[in-house]
Amino acid sequence: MSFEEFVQACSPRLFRTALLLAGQDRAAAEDLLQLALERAYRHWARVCRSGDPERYVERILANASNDRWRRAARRPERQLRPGEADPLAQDQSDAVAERDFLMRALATLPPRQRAVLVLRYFNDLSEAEIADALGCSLGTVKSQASRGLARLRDIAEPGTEPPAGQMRRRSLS
Amino acid sequence: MTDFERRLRAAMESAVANKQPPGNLVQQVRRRHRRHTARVAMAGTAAVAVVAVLVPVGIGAVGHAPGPAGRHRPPTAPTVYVAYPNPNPSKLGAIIPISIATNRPGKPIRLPFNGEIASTLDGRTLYVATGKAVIPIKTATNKPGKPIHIGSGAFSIDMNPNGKTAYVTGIFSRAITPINIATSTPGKPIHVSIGVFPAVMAFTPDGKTAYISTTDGTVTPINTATNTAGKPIHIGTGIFHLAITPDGKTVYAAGVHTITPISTATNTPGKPIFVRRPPSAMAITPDGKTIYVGSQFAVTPVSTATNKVGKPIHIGGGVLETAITPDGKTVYVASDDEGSPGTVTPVSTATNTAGRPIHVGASVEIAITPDGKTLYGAALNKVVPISTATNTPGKPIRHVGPGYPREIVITP
Repeated sequence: MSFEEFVQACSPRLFRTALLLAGQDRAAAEDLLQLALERAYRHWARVCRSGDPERYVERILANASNDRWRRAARRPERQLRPGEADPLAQDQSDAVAERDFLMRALATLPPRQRAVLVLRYFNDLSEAEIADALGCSLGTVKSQASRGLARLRDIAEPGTEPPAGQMRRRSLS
Repeated sequence: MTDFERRLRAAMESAVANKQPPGNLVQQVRRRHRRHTARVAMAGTAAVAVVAVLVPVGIGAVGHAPGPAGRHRPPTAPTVYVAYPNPNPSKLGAIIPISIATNRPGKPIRLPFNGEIASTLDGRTLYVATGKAVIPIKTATNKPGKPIHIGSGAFSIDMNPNGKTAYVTGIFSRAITPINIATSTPGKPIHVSIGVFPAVMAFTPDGKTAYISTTDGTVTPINTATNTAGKPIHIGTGIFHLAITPDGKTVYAAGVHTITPISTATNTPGKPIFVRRPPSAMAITPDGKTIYVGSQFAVTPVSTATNKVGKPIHIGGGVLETAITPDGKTVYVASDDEGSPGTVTPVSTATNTAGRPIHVGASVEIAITPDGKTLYGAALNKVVPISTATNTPGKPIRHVGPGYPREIVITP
């Protein structure tokens, strides 16, 4: 498979992953995808030999996203309140409003928690596969997923009790 | 999955459902690649210049490795060949011969190619995979010969240790084409299920059996006397690397999360050994006791006697390749990372500890001379000889090729 064929076939899905990792910031997502593809391009023969180039690039994406935020100056986390609806979303259906709210809430999570949730729920990776992709332990993936979900639920459904064993993180409301 | 998790998944899918990447993504990536290439080249120049001034190392002449009994001695001195395919596929790539005795590059052999290179065991011929054909190059003159056309494509080349046959695989091809080295003629293709990507091949030391890995989770033995494929051995996950113990009794097949031993006597798989991170490289010590498995940020020793996985040895970056010195004392680990591109880290097999990483350059490929005295690291537009006795880099051989190296081969 040539690099061009791979980009043509896989870039839409990879771009969507990048968008979610970048908190729906299109410019940041384009940059992230370019960075991941450039690294794959450098080692294209090796990437092909890995047998699953898409998974390989996905892994670069997730790690690059983490690195980027880690290296960047501390970005103030956006505070999001349940009642703080997007003015454009006011006329939208509840489902669309909830979607937008959840996505904005996702963008406020620390990058690693966000990456774990994106890989788990958008890319359908198992916890073991996420641990491989991010180069961390299975325990870290489980705790990050649990905390990320708890925090999202806190924002989206303030006042609801998390399932047993799941930690409740600080409320943003 | 809870209701909230389902809603989160649906929200993610719906939020980005119709989003498309920019149309000129390939051009953007290429542009970024050029910028990166220029940046790394400049950084490398500065770093290596300092090293060269502080630690000048003379690489002594390296003699011939004793070849198998009865085999002809190579007509030329041992030579390093580094393949640099041109990043622009419409332009010629370069194969750079470097004399081990003098560390001087010879005249580049310019060819259109994008595949691998391999040397025959007697060192007389170098084969270059161009994508569609294999071009033989006589090492005495470094002149390309008549292309051997491979109908199913040519990307990987593997040499049978019996010195008689080369096996060529393409991309998107389920055929392996044997080439008779004596006559440079292709034989009848062997058809196996190898998935859509070039698979990895390994030979038993006697050259009687070849094993070819597949990306669909099987390993197929090939009888090299008849060039016929045997019954596929099912492993279960995609196999990306193969390594055979020096006694030829066991093939280790590395999958996504496991390394599976296969008995070459019965062609049956044993109990898989679980490894935490996906293997990206694998090498077995000459005494056959330990496999070193490279992965992201680590190389991990695995005992072949007990199949016990040892403590990972930290390496800064993703492991690209591993090479073990003939005396088995050191594993050299080539790794690449965004933060520190292209280093080679020596790991002592006695203590399983990593030494100081040696900077070589982006996308490093490594090979050790048959006498084990020198390791050559090929990187972006330069080749660095490293003394294995002192683990110090010698003067880099610069301006050797366009872009990144595909492979480095040392003739005997």
